[in-house]
Amino acid sequence: MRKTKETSCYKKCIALLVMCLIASATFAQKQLAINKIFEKYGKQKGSTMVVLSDDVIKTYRLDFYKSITLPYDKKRSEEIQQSLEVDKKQAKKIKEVISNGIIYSGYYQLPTENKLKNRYILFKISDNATATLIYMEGDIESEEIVNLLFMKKKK
Amino acid sequence: MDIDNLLNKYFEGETSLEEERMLRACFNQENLPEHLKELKSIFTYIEDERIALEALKEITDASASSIKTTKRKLTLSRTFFISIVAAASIIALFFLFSPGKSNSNASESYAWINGKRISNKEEIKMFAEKSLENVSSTENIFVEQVSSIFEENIGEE
Repeated sequence: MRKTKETSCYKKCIALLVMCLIASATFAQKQLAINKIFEKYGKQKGSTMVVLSDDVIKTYRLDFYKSITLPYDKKRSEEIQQSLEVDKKQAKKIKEVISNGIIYSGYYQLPTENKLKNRYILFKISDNATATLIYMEGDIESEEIVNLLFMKKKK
Repeated sequence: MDIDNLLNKYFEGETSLEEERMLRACFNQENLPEHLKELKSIFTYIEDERIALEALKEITDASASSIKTTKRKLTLSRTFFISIVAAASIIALFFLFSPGKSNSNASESYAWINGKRISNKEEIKMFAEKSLENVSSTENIFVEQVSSIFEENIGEE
């Protein structure tokens, strides 16, 4: 009887442990390496960080939009390149322009999350030695993103 | 004391442990007098039983100590499990509630320009559009590279 109780206790412990590990793993996957770029440089002088709420971006079928434009010096370049390398490992679609081993522009479509949102990372180094990094998520499809980008350019 | 007297004493229940041991040793011998042979089976049975009981006692002692060890192991592993579960829970809670790391939806729009926070919607929109313009590209690398290859080939001809 006592043994059965003990076995049941162990089983509960193991189940709880497994659930905790799954929760951690799921959440860890949600974390993107580029987040630290926003956190570290977003509020610094010389940077422009934009965070848009639902009401502003609803028309684009987006739920979340975050962008940062910052001077592209050597230190930042290394950090951004490393973050992109990490995040692109989980991307399901990648479009990149790489020159001399450096990503000059990148488009990454990440796997959808639990809420079935599409997630994208966009990156580009501009001619004026600045880099722009964008993260967005929502129902927006990749074709719509292309339209959005080219619409802006045509204007 | 000869064996017959010792036997009489034994059947009257007056023998000491030492005397009983002597009797058992005596009946273990091969060359027993004829009148004692019929009693041999009694004493060999007693001797066998004694050996069996000793063996049983040894086994019981050994298993008692092994039960102790197992119990200790069980207690240890229970503590170990509880520690692991507690640690995992703390890690999970840390990830779930750590501030400023989530990609969750923003409750309000804002922008940080040169270290200053801006909350004017029109201005924010303008900066967002600017960032989209920055990443958009009119260059088509594929067309550019293919056309440069064709140009080289034409040049060679």
